[in-house]
Amino acid sequence: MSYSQPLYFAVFLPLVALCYQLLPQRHRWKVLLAASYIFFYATSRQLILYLLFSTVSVHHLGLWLGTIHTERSAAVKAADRAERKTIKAEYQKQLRRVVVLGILLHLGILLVVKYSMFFAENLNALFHITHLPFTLPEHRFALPLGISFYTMQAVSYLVDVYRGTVQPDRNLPRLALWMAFFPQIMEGPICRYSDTADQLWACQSINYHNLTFGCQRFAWGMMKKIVVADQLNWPVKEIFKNYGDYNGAVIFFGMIAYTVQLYMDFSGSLDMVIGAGEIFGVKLPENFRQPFFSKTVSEFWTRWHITLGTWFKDYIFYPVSLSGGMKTLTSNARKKLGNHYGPMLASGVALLAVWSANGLWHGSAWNYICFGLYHFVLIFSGTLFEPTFKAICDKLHINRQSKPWHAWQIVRTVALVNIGELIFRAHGMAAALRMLKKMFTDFDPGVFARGEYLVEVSGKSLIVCLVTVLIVLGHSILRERGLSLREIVAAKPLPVRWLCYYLLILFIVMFGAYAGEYAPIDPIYAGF
Amino acid sequence: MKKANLSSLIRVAAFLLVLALLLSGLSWLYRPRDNTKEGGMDYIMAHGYLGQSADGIDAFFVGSSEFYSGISPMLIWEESGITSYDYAIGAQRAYSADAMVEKLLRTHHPRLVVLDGYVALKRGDPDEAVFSMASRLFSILENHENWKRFDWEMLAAPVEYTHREINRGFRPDNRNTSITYAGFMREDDSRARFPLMNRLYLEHIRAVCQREDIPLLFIALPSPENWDYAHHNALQDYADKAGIELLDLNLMVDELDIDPETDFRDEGDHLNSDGAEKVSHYLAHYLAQQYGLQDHRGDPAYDDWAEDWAQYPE
Repeated sequence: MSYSQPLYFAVFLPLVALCYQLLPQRHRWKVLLAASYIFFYATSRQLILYLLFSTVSVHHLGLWLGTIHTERSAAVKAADRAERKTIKAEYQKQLRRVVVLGILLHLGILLVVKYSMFFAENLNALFHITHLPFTLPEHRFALPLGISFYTMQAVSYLVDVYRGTVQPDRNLPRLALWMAFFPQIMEGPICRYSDTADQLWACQSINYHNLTFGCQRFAWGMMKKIVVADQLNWPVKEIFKNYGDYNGAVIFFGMIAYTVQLYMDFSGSLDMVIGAGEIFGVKLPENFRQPFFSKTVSEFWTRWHITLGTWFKDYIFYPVSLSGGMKTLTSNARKKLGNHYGPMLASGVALLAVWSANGLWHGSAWNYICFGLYHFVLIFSGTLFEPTFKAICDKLHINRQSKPWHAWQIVRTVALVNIGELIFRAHGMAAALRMLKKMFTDFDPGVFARGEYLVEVSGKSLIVCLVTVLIVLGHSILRERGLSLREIVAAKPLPVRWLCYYLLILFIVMFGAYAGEYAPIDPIYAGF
Repeated sequence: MKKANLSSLIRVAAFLLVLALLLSGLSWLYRPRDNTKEGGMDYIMAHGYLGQSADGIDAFFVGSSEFYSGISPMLIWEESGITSYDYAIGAQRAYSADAMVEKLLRTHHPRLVVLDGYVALKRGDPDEAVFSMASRLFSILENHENWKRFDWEMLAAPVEYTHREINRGFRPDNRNTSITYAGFMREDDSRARFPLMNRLYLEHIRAVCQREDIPLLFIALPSPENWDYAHHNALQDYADKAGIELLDLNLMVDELDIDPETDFRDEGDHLNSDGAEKVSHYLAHYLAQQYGLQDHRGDPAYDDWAEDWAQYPE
């Protein structure tokens, strides 16, 4: 059951909202929790045991950490001044052991379920090449829904309790609801416990504003998903699968189409997620902030899949870069390489860890790892060569604050991101490299004018996609200026408001890629 | 507070009512104008019956690819003069069978409706079932792609079904995959699962046909890939309770002389043209004897059948 399917938005979500609203406030959490587990079970059946295990273990590990914190506070308070440092250090070791246990447990499950096949295949290939007499079993595990997302939430909760920024939750149902909340289990956003647990538990009454705004956001997301993303699915699939048959210009079109498809699919799905949360009065964190207005790749990743980026920043980048070993490295490197290049060594190591994890998080294949490393190289080299670049621009009297320069930066960033997405989507690294090569060596845009592009694509459908992309672009410009289209429309007289809403709904009904020759397409990020 | 809630409810209800009207309007505007692709119709072969007179088809075979692969209405015509039609689409499920029976009864008056035994027991997709229900209320959901096909002229055109399928919905396939099926209908007491959703839809079909005084018949075509005795038992139980005849041709493969080496096209899933010929010859006599369906050969009102038979590929 995915968010854009009628069973979800026309039956499941309204039924849940109705049951939720009809019950007294103190019982509403039961509706949300039951609905979340039903949603999970409907997709993953007996794999729900993974979620249950994660939830219960995180709960108990959190309580354990809380107990150690409490004991430490008491022990420190009771101790002499001279002993306090030693006591703190001792309890810190205990805390670290428990949190490491929790992280290893949950990441271990994720590693085995999602990556064991990949590692086994590659190790076996290595053993074969090196003539070593070993063969690892290659077993593909069925993946439970949202395992990459709820595992990250679980780890973030444990680390936050370890750090003392969050109190362990004694209330198992509240923690379970936070872990499994049905609108976000499939594709995120990756929520922090402190952001949404209390909101979920508060179970505010559904009011008119939340209902209408939530539905509007939901419809907006559905438009992006089924009018654009699902419409582009067929040509993208065909071009990436059979790139050998296509001219470089067609492959270029495929690359752009995939980036558009991915953005519309993911951001559209998240609009539906956030809209559903809004109906229940839960403000889920935003995951996109007009990413294609970014001036650098680094900035892009603060605007795209924001909750994943901040998770990596808070739980990998900072712990690695601020660790004792890295601090020593930075200190020594500063002496030899100066204040700009010195710290870059440690941040480079941390960045490499982040981007390796980012690539792997998306999937167990070499092109995902290469995708991560590609962005690492872009971001790291951007920072590394910044002084050189600045010097060149100064010498050439280029005003880096000017609008033309910003425009160039945006175009450059979009181009680099598109190449990354081609690597991401391709059927392996070899295919990605061949596709890139063809774009440069066999590029003939004349194929479109001559009708020789081979891919069966309806011109009318592409025009609808383009119109929708322009509408979304217009909306993004408004957002970039801090304006909200929903608020603007909400301030209009009723006939104007309703006209806008009806246009949106009928636009989806008329131009969506559903029924007939279209097969339902799962959200792309639900596969990660 | 209560007044505010009531006012909100009224606004939501009014919004939804206007939306329903708009969807109904669009449904009417984009309804197919002809039973052709240019006319905005999908499943052209299945909807060929619309090009025939309301009383011109005695029996409808409402089913899946099993039916359109395994029953040739033109061979039935040739053998017995009975007129029939394969109103069948691939991967049909109980909810679409229900919709299709309702649809055909809006324009035609058959003397018999035959349902596909495979479809009766095949588990459907709840999401598709919801969509099917919504499409019956607002056909724009099914026909929305007509915006690509229709120009202003078409939007103003009346509905006129002009296309007639020579094969009457049958899709002959000469491919052959040799199989063995020794013992696939070995008698036992087990029962296949009969999805509750399917029962509900079959009950609705039964009620609709009863209202029109049209008898129902289940046919299970030979399909070793999909059928066994457990399926037979499950459907027979239901058929007995519902008072519907079940003709399970899987039990009659020897009598029909179905040859596993030559009569299936895909590992025992569907019959091929040879298998369909044998089944159709049998059904021609069965329908005449059991349901008293008339021989229309020589009747000028059925000249189109004679014309199309002349063009029917051998």
